[in-house]
Amino acid sequence: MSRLLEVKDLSVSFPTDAGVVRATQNLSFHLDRGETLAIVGESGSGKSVSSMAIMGLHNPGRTEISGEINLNFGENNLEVVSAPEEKIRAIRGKNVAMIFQDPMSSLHPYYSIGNQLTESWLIHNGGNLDSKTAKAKAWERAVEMLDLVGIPDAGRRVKEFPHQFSGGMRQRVMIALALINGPDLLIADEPTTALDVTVQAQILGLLKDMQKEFNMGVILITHDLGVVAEVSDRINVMYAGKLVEEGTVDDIFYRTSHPYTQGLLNSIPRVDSGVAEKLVAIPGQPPSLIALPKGCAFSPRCEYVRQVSSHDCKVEIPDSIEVASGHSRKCFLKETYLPAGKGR
Amino acid sequence: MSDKVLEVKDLKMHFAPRSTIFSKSNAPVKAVDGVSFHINRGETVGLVGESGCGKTTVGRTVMRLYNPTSGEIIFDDQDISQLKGNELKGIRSKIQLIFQDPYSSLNPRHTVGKIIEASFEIHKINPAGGRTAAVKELLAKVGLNPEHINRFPHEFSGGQRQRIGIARALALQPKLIVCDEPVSALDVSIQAQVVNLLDDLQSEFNLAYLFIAHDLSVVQHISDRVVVMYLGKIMEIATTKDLFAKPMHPYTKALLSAVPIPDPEIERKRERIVLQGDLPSPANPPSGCVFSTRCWKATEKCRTEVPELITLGVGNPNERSYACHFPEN
Ligand SMILES: Nc1ncnc2c1ncn2[C@@H]1O[C@H](COP(=O)(O)OP(=O)(O)OP(=O)(O)O)[C@@H](O)[C@H]1O
Ligand SMILES: Nc1ncnc2c1ncn2[C@@H]1O[C@H](COP(=O)(O)OP(=O)(O)OP(=O)(O)O)[C@@H](O)[C@H]1O
Ligand code: SF4
Ligand SMILES: [Mg+2]
Ligand SMILES: [Mg+2]
Repeated sequence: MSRLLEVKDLSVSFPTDAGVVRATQNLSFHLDRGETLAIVGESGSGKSVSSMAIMGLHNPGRTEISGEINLNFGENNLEVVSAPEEKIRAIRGKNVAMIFQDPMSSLHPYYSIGNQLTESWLIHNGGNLDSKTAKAKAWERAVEMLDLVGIPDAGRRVKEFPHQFSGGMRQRVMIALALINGPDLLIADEPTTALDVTVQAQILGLLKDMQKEFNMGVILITHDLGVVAEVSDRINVMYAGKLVEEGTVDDIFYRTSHPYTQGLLNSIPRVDSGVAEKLVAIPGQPPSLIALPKGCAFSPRCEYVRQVSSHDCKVEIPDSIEVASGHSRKCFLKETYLPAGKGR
Repeated sequence: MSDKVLEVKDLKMHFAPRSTIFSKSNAPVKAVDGVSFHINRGETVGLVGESGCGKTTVGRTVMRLYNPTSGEIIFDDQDISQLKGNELKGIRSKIQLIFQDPYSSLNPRHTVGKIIEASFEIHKINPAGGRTAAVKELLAKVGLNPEHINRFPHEFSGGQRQRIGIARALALQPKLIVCDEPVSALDVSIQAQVVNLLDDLQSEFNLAYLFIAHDLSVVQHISDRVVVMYLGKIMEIATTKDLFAKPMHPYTKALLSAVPIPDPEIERKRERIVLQGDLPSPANPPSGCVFSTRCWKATEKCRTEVPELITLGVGNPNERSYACHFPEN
């Protein structure tokens, strides 16, 4: 597998009237071709902010970004943080594409589906063709894509408008739009959150097929640990803007190492659990990113604080330590693994 | 006094046709189309089904926020389906609602104290010890700091706002609370706090819940029995245990098989039933069984004859019902 994305020490903050919002701090992670990396964490933990940074979508005037985002597409290599806007525009929608939770926010209500699909194709492929050939090719490609994402009767429906499609169909159209240029990297930000489980199952299946078809690297942002267990190879767990644990899907679920990850896994009910025991909630609330707690950001909610004798969790900030190859966490605890997930 | 706090019989709620710029329609939307179920005192009944199947409409009709098209709503041994005016107001204090979006349901310009006190005001109730003391007690009950009585909704987090909504619902000592997606907007760690709170309050006050949610794992956790709806009709009712272990209706089976399980090993081995196609429109439901257009078992009979809701073991604790010509098992 070849390395597609390498993020090093990425920090994104927003200066606001109320203070500086430290949305992500010193993130480092990577993604290979053909691989699915899930990013999980509570609302406001910085999942979307970090993926927007990869797409080069932050407003430079209102955002402070540091670190490196190296994209490796063979000929089109790019370091996004320092790259000029026109270089980013050349890869956005071509090599890197994104789909969002709400398809209506990315589909234009007044243009036909075909119009939107062809436009996206023409921006990156139309240049060296005369306009008539280019248009014909683009429409051909649009119909082909709709067909690929499972829209029945694609030849006819390509002329329809977004409101004529159901929620699940619109999400398929969005996927077609994101994939029309055969991207290397796809970022899916809560792609199924607004959908019913039956439709979610269809869309996740489709994403898997598309990943194979295009040999893409996929970053999947979601709060649903069931979805994560189903589709991801590796997982980044975020808390208050930091990567607190990362590892393979089995590392995270069966060899849980960070107290926050353990808390997340314990707080979800499971349809296959049978017994209605009490859920183990994480006490308290996530911190404000303007006034982060001293020390480990999770310490005000962590039940292990008193068990740590080597350090003071409420004063010192834990560094990332590798607990096994490819599996690391930010925590001072002596025990490497915490009982969670299985065998609860 | 019957064991049942609520019994709904053949309830229909059809909405007058709506024409939009895109479609002219003259068929009514059959949001709820002949639904029968009951809730025992102190029991939690989950109500599940895909978006648009009529869950919220059932909840709102039961609370008499709508005038039902037909059918009976027996609450506390009294048919409330036709009540009006003051009689209806009296009943409404006994059935309360908790919403999905705690923020939009709380007046941003009022303090928490005032929001909760409004329930007392509307129903002219003066609790012993005074309203302020009663509000403080409610805040403490739902795990909020009673000293925060003068704060405004925006000063609270999402989970805390949902607690405010719960405190407000509890103020009038209801017998039934309709919880419409009460934890859907909350993060998982906060979701668990609110679910546990609902559990505790139920034991303390012998509350009955109609728990509407699309998240089947939460429903499974909190419910004693579950009602499964599809396109305005009931497909299946069973105890939570039976429904999740041995679904009888193909739709229930498909729904359960679509829920991802947070366990990678199980996910790797799992077979899914992926339903094809989309939900039909409730203004133009399929003939026969409403699920027949997406059901892998459908025959000619399914496309022409409406399956009745059949109940097995009437009156015993494991009573279960299904509406299907070819049930599983
Ligand atoms: N442009 C901005 N200006 C100021 N703060 C911002 C901006 N964009 C995001 N934030 C803040 O940065 C933090 C991280 O936001 P982000 O959208 O990445 O969260 P998330 O993990 O994607 O959450 P969710 O699950 O709710 O989508 C939040 O506290 C958010 O309010
Ligand atoms: N006031 C109304 N007027 C007309 N149609 C309505 C009205 N309220 C709901 N409907 C329609 O009735 C059907 C059932 O809606 P309802 O809100 O009860 O579904 P639901 O199961 O709660 O869905 P969701 O999971 O999306 O909340 C839908 O087709 C909806 O568009
Ligand atoms: S460093 Fe301490 S407070 Fe932070 S997560 Fe680990 S044990 Fe808990
Ligand atoms: Mg986000
Ligand atoms: Mg609803």
